Amino acid sequence: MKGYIDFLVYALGIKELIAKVPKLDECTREVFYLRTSPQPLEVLIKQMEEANVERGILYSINAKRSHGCDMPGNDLLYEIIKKRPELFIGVGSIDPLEDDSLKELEKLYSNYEFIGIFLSPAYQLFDPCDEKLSRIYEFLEDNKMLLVLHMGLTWNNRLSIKWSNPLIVDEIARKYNKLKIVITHMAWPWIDDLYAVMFRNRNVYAITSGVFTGTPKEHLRTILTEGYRRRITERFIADRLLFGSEFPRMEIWKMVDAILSTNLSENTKIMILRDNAVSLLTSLNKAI
Amino acid sequence: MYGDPTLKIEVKIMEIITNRKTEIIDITDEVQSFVKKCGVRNGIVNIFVRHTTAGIFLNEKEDGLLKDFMNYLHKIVPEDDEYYHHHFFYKDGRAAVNAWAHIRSVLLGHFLTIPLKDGKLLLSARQRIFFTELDGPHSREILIQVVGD
Repeated sequence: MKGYIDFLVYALGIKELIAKVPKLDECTREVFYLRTSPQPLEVLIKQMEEANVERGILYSINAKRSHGCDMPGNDLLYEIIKKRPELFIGVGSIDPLEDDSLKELEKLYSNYEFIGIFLSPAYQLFDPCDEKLSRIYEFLEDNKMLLVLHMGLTWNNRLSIKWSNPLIVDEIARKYNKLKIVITHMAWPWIDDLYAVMFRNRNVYAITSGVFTGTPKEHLRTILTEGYRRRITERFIADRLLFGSEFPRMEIWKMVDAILSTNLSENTKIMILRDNAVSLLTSLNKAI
Repeated sequence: MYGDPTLKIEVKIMEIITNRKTEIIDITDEVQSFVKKCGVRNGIVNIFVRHTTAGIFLNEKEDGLLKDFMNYLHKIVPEDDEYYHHHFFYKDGRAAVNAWAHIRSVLLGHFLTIPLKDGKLLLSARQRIFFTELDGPHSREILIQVVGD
């Protein structure tokens, strides 16, 4: 059996990176809001093996302007990926409001070969529809890079969620209709709004990450299969859902088990766990 | 006795990175090896697991029996049950979803004390020391304390 693809793994809570940049520990605790003990990189790799995950998409979050934190920063992210290129693929991060953001984005594209960037209105404090971001979206669209947008609930109430409802993405998706946009956490609790955006825009994808309403099994059963949601998952958006664990906030095998335990068709489960990610990565010229 | 100049107390923190969600690992040889290195001949060895979702026990090393232990733990403390612990845990900044692992670890226990004579653990021929991962893979610490002379 071919392995699954985890489309959302944060490169945080990793001992080796904290040893290089001690401030990363405080940033992870206070800004990313994860207070569990840091673990060696080997734990992430063993988590992937135990969950039959063959590739992990690793993320960085640039919150330098908003919180003085780069988590862990594009250079450190690249170091991990260089160590295990057969396991990891990078999604970097820039501050879209900084003057030199386009230059940094060009570096991520040309030097690091990252497949896209992660932007979080909550962590980075910006309006995704701000006109200043046009040059970023144009670059991503022109160069077949992904825009991963952090949407939905953030538990840390020091962060604002006023730009975390996915309806805001509709304007971007319509204007840049060749840009592939990936929304995290199924934008919970605004799932109906997510449906609206995905129905209208075939260039919008969603990651099934996040555990908000119980255990992974309870949460994913609720958001993917309860009531009319099962029809929508199966008939409308099955080809644009991507599996994501949100490790280290959740163990990878628990999220895989949760998908497998739903009453979705076997075909849809494998699309979510692998096939959709392969298609999306192939469309970016990133062969798996 | 504290203050006794012949009494030695040696401590080692043994680090393990586990491979599986649940896993039973024989650590008897590592414990015996540390005892030998300490040079303590007579006394006790305390083995303490510094986690709330892992455990330790003594028993026979037989593959079928070890599977039975794990199966029985899963049967009496199932994952798919209602647990009050399963909610967002602000202290950790993540959802708590592993009450079953905590309860299983309480059933197993977190420490062992084994007598030591002539530099050897006084285990029976069939007894082995098993560290038990209940929510892995994870980085784990086991404290081994040797007290004696």
